[in-house]
Amino acid sequence: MMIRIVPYLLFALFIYLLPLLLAGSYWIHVLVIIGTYVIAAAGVDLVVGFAGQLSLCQAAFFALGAYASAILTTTYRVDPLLALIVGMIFTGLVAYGVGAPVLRLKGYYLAIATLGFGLIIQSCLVTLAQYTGGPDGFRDIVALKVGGYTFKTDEQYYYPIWTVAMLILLLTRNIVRSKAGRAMLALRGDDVAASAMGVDIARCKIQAFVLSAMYASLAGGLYAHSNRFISPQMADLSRSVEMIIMAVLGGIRTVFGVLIGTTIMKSIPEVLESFLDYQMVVTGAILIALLLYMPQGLIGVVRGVILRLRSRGEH
Amino acid sequence: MILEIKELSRFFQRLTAVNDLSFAVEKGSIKALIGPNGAGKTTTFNMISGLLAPSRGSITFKGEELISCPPHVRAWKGLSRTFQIVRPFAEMSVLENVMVGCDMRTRSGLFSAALRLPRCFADEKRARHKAMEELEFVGLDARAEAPATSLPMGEQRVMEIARALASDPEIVLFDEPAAGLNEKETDELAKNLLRIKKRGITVLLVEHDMRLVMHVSDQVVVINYGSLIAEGTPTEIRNNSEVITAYLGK
Repeated sequence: MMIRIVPYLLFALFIYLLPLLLAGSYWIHVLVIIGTYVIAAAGVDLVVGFAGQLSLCQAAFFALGAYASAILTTTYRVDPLLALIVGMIFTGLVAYGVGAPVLRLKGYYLAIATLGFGLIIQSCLVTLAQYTGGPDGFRDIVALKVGGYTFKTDEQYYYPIWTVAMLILLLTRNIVRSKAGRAMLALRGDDVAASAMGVDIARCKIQAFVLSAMYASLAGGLYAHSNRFISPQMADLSRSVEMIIMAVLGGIRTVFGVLIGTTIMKSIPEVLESFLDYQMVVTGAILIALLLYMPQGLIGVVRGVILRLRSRGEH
Repeated sequence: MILEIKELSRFFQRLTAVNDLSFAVEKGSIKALIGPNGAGKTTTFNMISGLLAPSRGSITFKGEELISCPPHVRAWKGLSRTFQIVRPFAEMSVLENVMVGCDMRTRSGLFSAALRLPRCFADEKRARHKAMEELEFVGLDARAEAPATSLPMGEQRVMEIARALASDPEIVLFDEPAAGLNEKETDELAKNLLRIKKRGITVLLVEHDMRLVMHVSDQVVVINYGSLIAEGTPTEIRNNSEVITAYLGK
């Protein structure tokens, strides 16, 4: 029991010490972005990885959270912390309203319906220009302020965002290792058998969907404050797909998989800075390679290699 | 009578799968539902467990009408089942599969799970204990940690029995539990069915293996083309001319 916690503690220590190594580096900024997206990707892991519901509107929930925070704090001067919570509740309610009818659909139909919902949100963000700033985006979002302390630099955002991200990962891990997680996996594995075994599958789907939407909203709100600029582009389908890759690339249904996948996906644009035009090409290529060669993600590949080496050792 | 089926019918467009079927299951007994292929046995099972809505008729369980209850509510009320084609939950161990069956009897929710409250710990412990007990009951405890889908088919069937028993049901529907089992496994199954009966759990069984049916059943219902053609003890059924005609042709 105690030994199991060690990797998590080491990881937390590593995260908290990292800024000391990277002081003043641009990578702090990248790590802040990675931290926010880890929160959203953890939600994707729940709804897609565990519950098996292919949602293609996670970026729309992210955008809802971002715009809720931006509008409430900057236009209406609401306390940023309160705005984050209001945004999460609002996004959760929207997800409930959309999910209740849409989650009856399965497979491709569900994917297309959620994709449609994402498009609606994106066009609303463009059209409601008087509140959102329209296609040009929302500028000069006020800084996050907690109890009189204002967060301004990336170094200042790093600790709260990664603390929240690690807490979210911990909560998610706890949820999936309980009755609720078993119900989600059972639903994914065989919905007919799950309902015959007493799993309320409609409720289970909604739970996963709403929870993932609230994660995405929290991530979006934090992103809005740390980045200070948001645009309707962030609700785009390509961003939703990117979030799914984040959850799957490292290793689906694992905490460290989410961390690895998100880190890779958010580092690519920085590494490939000089050919930014090809970013979507690279993302697409990763997606195809993932589906073809490593459906279990990178962790799955590593596990496979270890198993093979072990069995070779035994012979 | 723990379960009563009255004038149950199911039509698929023009096809009549089940027609005006009525029978009852006595509490604590083993009742078998038999009939030639396509007689409507699985359709009847699916209507009883709530996976398929009847076109007409009523299903009462412990005196309560079930028709408008979704499958999971029927499970909560104490009606469990296994499947003709095994339906294990992939990506889960044998133990976890069985724990899903236990979970409907614990009350802690998402919140206490996320924060690892003592309530959740207690429920997890109880579910694990109960699941292990049922695996021991069916003799599969040694495979508890194996991935469910890695088991051979016979063992997956046994796991489904443990999973069905894990919720402390009052009646379990077994849909062709002997399909694909060898002789030794079938004998084991017969023993288990009788041990389940001894626990006071009612059994309703759809089965093709006549040796098994005749050995374990208290009562047998025979249907053909969706309609009841005979009902009685195994001996009565064996000597019924209509049943012999249905099975062997004229």
